[in-house]
Amino acid sequence: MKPDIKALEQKVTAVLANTEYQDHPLYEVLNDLWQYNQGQWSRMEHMIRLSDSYQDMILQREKTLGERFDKHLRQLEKITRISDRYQTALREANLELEQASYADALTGLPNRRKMLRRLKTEFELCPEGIFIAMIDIDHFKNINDQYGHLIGDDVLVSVGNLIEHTVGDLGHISRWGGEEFLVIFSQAEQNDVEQCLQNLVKTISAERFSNGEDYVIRTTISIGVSHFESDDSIDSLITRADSALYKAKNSGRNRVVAG
Amino acid sequence: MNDLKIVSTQSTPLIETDSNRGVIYMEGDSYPENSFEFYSELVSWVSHYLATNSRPLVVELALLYLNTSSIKVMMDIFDELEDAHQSGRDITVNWRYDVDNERVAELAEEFKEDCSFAFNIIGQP
Repeated sequence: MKPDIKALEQKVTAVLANTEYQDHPLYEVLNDLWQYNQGQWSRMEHMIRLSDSYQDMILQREKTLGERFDKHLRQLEKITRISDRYQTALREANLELEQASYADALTGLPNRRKMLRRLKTEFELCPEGIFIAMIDIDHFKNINDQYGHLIGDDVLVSVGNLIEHTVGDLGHISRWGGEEFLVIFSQAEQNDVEQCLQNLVKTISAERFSNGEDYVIRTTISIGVSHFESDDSIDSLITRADSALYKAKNSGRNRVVAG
Repeated sequence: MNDLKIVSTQSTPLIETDSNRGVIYMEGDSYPENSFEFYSELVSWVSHYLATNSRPLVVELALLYLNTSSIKVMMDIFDELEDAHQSGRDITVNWRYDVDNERVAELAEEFKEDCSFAFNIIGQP
């Protein structure tokens, strides 16, 4: 049976309040017990309040930690997105720079740096098949002097395009410097290379370079060509092509000389 | 209240504050060696400004590139501005960028996303 605490309390306080019982030997015992009981109650209430406030504090702290965690997560996600975008931009800029660093600004053809890389690769792969043609526009200085550098540049670009077009898939062209072009043939037969270079000389000398109204310019090219020989290095191949070009120049220009 | 006048370098932006007019001005690239140290004065200035008066604050930005730690600092500052705005403060951010540099606008958009105050991203020719 559940004790009725309220009724018991009322009974006890009624007894303690009754002056008739004050001389009773059990009165003092009951009174002490009652005071002790009251003290215990108030201690219990105090501990419950303490426990409640402690729980509140923990809940609050968890909430604050949760909020901070959410904030940091949001920032991290955002920073990652921004960082990814920066990396993409950087990668694209690098690719653009790389491409620009391998192209000749005037003609758009591969430049000397690009050709040196290609030479190195081809040389490591299969040096025996390599032909190098060093091509120079004859008396180019005269064109510049007579028509000015802008028209000279136009002629240079046109000659470059014609060489590229005539060589086609047989070889790879680059602007080597000034009015010089270097073509590498890596997988071609000797006859095809010779035929191609003779064609080139004919094509350029037959061409009339013009902007349609102000001028018509004719020019020729000289070509020195070298084919890989045992003990050749890239440098010696280029040097022999250069020497052959020099011979072509000294023997009347507008021709191909093998070195 | 001491105002800031930090001149720009190649890797740090110009930072100027005007507590009388309630304006912060920042311009340039930001990739300091130690962003938290570099921005500590600005962070203190913002906290102090917000704590000591209730006037509006306008942030004029022409920032271009921010490294990761600079982004973190700016996010913390914007979060503080957002809290102030939630408590009734008048806050405005004007982020100007060159229309040829859309990436800056994209960056500004990321910051704007978490702000409910006036955040204007202004392209300039």
